[in-house]
Amino acid sequence: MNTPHADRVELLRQIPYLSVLDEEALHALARATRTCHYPAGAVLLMEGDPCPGLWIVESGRVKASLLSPSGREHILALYGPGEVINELSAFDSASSAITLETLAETRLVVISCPVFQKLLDEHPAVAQAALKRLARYGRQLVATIADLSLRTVTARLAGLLLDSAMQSCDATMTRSQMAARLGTVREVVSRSLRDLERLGLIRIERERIILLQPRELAQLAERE
Amino acid sequence: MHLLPIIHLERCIGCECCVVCCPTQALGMKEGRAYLAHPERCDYEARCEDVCPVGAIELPYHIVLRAPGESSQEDV
Repeated sequence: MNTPHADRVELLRQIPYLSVLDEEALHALARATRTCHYPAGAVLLMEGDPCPGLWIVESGRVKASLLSPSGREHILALYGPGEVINELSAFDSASSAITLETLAETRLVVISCPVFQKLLDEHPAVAQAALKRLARYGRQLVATIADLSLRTVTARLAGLLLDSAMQSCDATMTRSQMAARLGTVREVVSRSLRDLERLGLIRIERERIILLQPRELAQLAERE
Repeated sequence: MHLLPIIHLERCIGCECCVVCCPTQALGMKEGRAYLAHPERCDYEARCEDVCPVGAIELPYHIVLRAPGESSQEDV
């Protein structure tokens, strides 16, 4: 079932660089979009697939990852409602650099590449706002490279555990998922968990990882 | 509610390594695949996850901040 027009306009209005559009343009854009519905575990896009356009998560959760030829996964980001996916490909209509998979039943609002390109051509304010977002995205990538190359897995794991616990009171993760988020393998995560436990920063009790010293974990996460 | 190991049946190759190494005999085999035969016995030792050659078993963990008043390791 398609999202009602008014709801779609509201969703588009929440996107930072689309919020600069006036009412008429927002309604026109909403009419040019469509809604897609996917079950949990659906692969939306594989690396190398042609660009399907810009996607906005209306509901659900989507994982962006890179896969090695042997199947090892590095999770780059998790997207939830109101977040935009696939921007890089939408800008240059190039093939996808990432794999996207739903983690829950998901509804996406799709702005096709031609519609998006036309939007950029006709509304310089949108293009300008989108450029700023791209610049931020570039800085995030630099931060990720620094993270992967300059900090230890234990420091990164400390940050991941802390972020997870702070973001949700119901955060659940397997060691493989932690490894995929950190760009490493489960065995290394197990070692790092043991290190953190030895340092008295966490305690593992059956299925609970309890963060005993959040401040010290934060300090460790900032360390090289 | 206690969490339990997740078994990805599509990955399981039926090697029985997890069944053999489980210290509480919580796992069993059904139609050539591992399954949690006795969930109440599972003590979350994670040997099954460590021994699985194809990553078919995963143990999820709740990640929680220490509750106020809960003892830290040094207090124990």
